Amino acid sequence: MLFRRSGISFADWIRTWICVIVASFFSQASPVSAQDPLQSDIGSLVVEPFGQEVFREGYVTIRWSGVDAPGGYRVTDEDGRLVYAGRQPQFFVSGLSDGQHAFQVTAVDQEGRVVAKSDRPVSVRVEHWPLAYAFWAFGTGLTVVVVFVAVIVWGHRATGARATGIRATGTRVGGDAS
Amino acid sequence: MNPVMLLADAEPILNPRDGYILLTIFGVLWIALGLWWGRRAKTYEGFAVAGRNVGLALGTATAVATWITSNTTMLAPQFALQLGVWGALGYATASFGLFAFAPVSGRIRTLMPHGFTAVEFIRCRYGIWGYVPFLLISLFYALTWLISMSMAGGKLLEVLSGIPYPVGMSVVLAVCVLYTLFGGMYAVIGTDFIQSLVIIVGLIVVALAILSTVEISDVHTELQQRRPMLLSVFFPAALMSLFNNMLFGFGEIFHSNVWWSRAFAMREGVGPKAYLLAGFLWLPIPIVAGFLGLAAPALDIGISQPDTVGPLVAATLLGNVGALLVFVVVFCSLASSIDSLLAATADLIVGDVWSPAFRAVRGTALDDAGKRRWSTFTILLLGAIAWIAAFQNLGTLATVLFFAGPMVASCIWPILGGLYFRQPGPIAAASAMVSGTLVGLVAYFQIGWFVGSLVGATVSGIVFLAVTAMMPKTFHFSTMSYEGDSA
Repeated sequence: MLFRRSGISFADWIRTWICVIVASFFSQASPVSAQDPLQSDIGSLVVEPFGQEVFREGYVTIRWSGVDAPGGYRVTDEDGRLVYAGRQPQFFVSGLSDGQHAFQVTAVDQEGRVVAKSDRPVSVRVEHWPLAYAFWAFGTGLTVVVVFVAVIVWGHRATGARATGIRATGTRVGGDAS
Repeated sequence: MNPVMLLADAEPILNPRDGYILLTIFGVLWIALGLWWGRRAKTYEGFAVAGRNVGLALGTATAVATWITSNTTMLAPQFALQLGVWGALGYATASFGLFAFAPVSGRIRTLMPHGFTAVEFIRCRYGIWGYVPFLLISLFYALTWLISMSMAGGKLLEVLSGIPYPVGMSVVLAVCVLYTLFGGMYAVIGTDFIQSLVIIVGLIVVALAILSTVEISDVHTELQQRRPMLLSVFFPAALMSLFNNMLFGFGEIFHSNVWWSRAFAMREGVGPKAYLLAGFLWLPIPIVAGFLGLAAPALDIGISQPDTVGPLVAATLLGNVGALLVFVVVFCSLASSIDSLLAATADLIVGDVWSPAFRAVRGTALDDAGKRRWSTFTILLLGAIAWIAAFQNLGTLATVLFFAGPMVASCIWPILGGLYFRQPGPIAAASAMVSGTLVGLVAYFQIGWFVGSLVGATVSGIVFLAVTAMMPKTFHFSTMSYEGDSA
């Protein structure tokens, strides 16, 4: 009766509600975003290194994957300065001092529009080897090299003097240093 | 300086068609030279050691060309990019290996006037105990070097001209295998002479062109602000690597048959002068190449792979002409090293593996024709192994090459002690090589590639001295000189 007085049949009412329910179901399945429609098209790049790895030499290769970039990739440092622009999905940086260094990676299309980016800047922690280690290695190396050169010089002189003596007496060349 | 981000890796500098044309021209020319010089190799002695009659000019040129490898033009800039000014200087210390080998080459010629290989010396001096570890180290290092050269060829051609890595690597390796096969040591030394002239002239032109494009003071300012550690005198990793590089250079030269075969090929008395002169000619080259590595971050040239920084910077700054020059210089440096490795390693395997095996099985020595046949087979086999490994393109040039660092550095004391002193015996030599290699490799993996050779050489030296003191022998050097076939 209610439906007839409003001019809508029960079947129409049911169909309407079914459409509303189905529409709301689909709208729940698709994430609702309050973002700009263009932002929702931006993909995500998976960037490594992950985690708390410490880099002791001040250099690191940052790699990423996830999206092809027809226009290439861009990497900016924590000051927003562009430090890499190219097609390879990796970037090498060196000469970093102790501390945390952040880099943001974006992928662009041929018009330069961003098509993907790293969810958050990749953070690289640099802690150089202690100077004491460096001095030990330097000192050890210097000692080994000095001894090496001294042995060559001494051996060369000793065998040269002995060979000269042997030649003078007319016997075979090819003596030893000791 | 106006910091403009130069689009690295976006497009190759040279047109791929130009790259293929250059590759074809050089490939055909080098193979033709191999065939032409190969006519002189009528005996195995001619094929293996160029008749033992190489003079000072060719001797110096071959030493310079062989030591200017693609590592010099690609690894030296990588060192500078990773380890700063110390990295470039550290790489230059590899010339000290040539200086050190100068007097030693004369001693080698005196002791073994009819010798062919370094392994032969170790076998005569230390017997089976020294022979086995040294042979394994020599073969492993030779293959590692060969693979790293092949990789470098592929990477270079891809960076400069877009030729796919597998194609470029395969063509470079195939050309070197062919002309070495046809011409032996005559072809190797002859092409080295041409290559050394091309390399030196090319590097001078590239260096002058770069210096006219870039102000050193601007590079210094940019690096100080943005990459300060590259200029730091107290850069820890760089300090740790300095003597590591030098000892690696000593180990490379002292153990490798590439250098011993040249000592045997040079006329009496020429070796010391040739190696000394070669050291002085080679010394400035990695410093010039290293500047390219330092220039990259200062000029905002983004780098994806550190071992391509040298060619990439030169080509980016100098355009097509620079790319062409770099292409030619690096091709020549690659070819000059790959051919030397193939020839010297084949000599080693023929003289110290196939010949003794043949004698053990057949009871007679391999004749000249037999040695030539086995040389041919060995060169082809080495080429195939290098191709299969290089095809994978694993690691950078530094990590591939310096893995062998502890092994070669552990050989320097047994060789030096064995050449000049009677007391070191087989157990001292073997234990020095094994302990130096093992401990050096532990340091390589636990700390880094920049200390492996230093630790290997230090441990090897201590063990060699200790065991010699505990078990001294009395070796008679007169037993080392002999006529004819390897004993």
